[in-house]
Amino acid sequence: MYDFLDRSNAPLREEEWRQIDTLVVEVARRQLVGRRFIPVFGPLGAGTQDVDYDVFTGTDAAVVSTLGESTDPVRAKRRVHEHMPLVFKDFMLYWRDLESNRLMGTPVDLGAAAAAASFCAQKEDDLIFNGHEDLGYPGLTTVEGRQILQASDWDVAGNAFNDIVASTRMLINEGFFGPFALVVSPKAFSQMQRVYANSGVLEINHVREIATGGVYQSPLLRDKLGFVVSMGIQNFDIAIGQDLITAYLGPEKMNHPFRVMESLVLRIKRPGAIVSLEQPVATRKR
Amino acid sequence: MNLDPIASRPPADLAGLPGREAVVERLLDALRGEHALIVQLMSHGYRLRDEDALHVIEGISRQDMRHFKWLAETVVRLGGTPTLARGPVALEPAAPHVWLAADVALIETRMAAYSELLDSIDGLTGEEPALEVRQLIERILGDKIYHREKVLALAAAWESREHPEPAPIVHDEVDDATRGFLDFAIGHEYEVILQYLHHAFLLEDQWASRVLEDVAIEEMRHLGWLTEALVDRGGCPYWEARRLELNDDAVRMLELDQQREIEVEADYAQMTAAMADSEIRRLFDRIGDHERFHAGTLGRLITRLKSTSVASPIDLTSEISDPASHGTLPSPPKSCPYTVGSLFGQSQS
Repeated sequence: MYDFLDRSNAPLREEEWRQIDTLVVEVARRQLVGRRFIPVFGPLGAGTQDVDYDVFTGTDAAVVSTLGESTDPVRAKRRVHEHMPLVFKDFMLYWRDLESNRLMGTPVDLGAAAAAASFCAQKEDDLIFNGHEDLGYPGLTTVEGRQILQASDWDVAGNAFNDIVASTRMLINEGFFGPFALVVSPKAFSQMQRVYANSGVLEINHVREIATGGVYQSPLLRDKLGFVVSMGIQNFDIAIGQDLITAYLGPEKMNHPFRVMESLVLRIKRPGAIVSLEQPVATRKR
Repeated sequence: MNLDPIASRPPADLAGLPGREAVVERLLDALRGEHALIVQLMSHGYRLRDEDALHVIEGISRQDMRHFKWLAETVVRLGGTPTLARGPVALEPAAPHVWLAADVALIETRMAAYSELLDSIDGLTGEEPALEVRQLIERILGDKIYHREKVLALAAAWESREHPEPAPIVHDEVDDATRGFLDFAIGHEYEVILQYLHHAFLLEDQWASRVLEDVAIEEMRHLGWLTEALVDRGGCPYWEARRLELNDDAVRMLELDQQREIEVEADYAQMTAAMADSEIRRLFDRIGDHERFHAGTLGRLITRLKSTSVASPIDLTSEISDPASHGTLPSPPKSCPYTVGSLFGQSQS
């Protein structure tokens, strides 16, 4: 098989590759948020460049009928043929450092690989949450057809809980049932860390009872407060071609560049399964 | 006893069956189905986190494992090679009643496949091998009908519960490192179960075959312990085989098996040293001890086979066999066994 990773030409020992792989995966697993509540489809292989999916309509309940003649099937509103973009970040190992490591018998410093993995994880979540306007990829907070709730001021105790309940009500009214997951900005997350009314329980714990699919925070929501989703592959998933992996790019001026990369695309099949929590106008960043 | 690669197989004493190739094809499909049944039911059983339900499902799966063994042995007796490929499984996170409904559906699929197989054997009249295969399939089909009823009863009992959700997680959140260790160990145990069983089916030396099967059964217990530990900590087990080292030569296959035991004992020791969860550490210690014992057992088997035959030369440089050629999942590049994969259901630390 064609070795597109070109690892055999890198000046690294097998154990060092193992360390890089472990590190990259561990950093990503610690950091990624989207994959915690969105099912993964694949990996389909590095050679997979495109993936199809259907955007569904028809949220009516199933039919009860004696003879089964009348049906309203889940229909594909449109079929999307989506290209899977690459997410990547390069890092460099310098020949003098490697020589020094070999001479002294010291381990190779792989901090750069960890940093590259961290940047890739951030970019993956950014792509999932915000999409990429220039390349035409919608995100969970930008996709057309999502539901929008103008949030109240979360500095006021109880408002966050009320907004989450209202969001789930909006989802249920449209036929999107639980489990629900909530993703909010770090500020909004901290705003829920206070005792709710006279219950003696933190507001976030009340929220967790509603969002049984998990409450997550991400700094990548930009100026948005957050969003609530009805989870499940019927609503959205992440199609992965090549999962996060490290390739050798070949020597460059005696130094050794590497690339941490992956290919994936968010497939939103039912945009109505998302409620985007928009900031109150007065608190929006200008 | 000649242990060259071809003669290391048990004799193909049912090879006189007319329409043998077609029957073998059907039996291979049955093997894939039994494999899927075992993985799907056991995975759901552990994730239900209910002792009574697990007891019922374990009973069914133990019987399915015997079906798998009988079918594989029959394939070998018909002159074929058993497959380690697996049929489709539904392992996505879902509500318990959805899992159980999927289990019933899969059993029903197998029932239909066995009925078709019986129809195809019906055409082969008056032949002793046909009768033997037919009786085996009838027996398995009978078990499936019984299993379907058991799972249906389990589903009904589950739905009538006041709280039809799995029991709450026993332990606090598991840290990422421990989860990674458990994922690795679960993957390893699943792989060696398949590898050892495959070799056990092909070994002509029946004593060696029995010992290897016994080691595989021990690995099944390890898989169960590890899966329970992961599920109790809020994890989601995925039984996937990425590395299978298969061989037809009797001595070589045992050497490959022994090598895996030696490697994993070292891996487990390394992981144990870095483990924060004392309960998991003890579990890995215990399994590590077993693996050391297995390595010794396999070493003695190798010596036995070498001393009783002129075995084919050992090629220590040979490539790891390509699982794809045995119908299993394609292997990722050898140099990179790691992947981020799904983090579904994992909380944010």
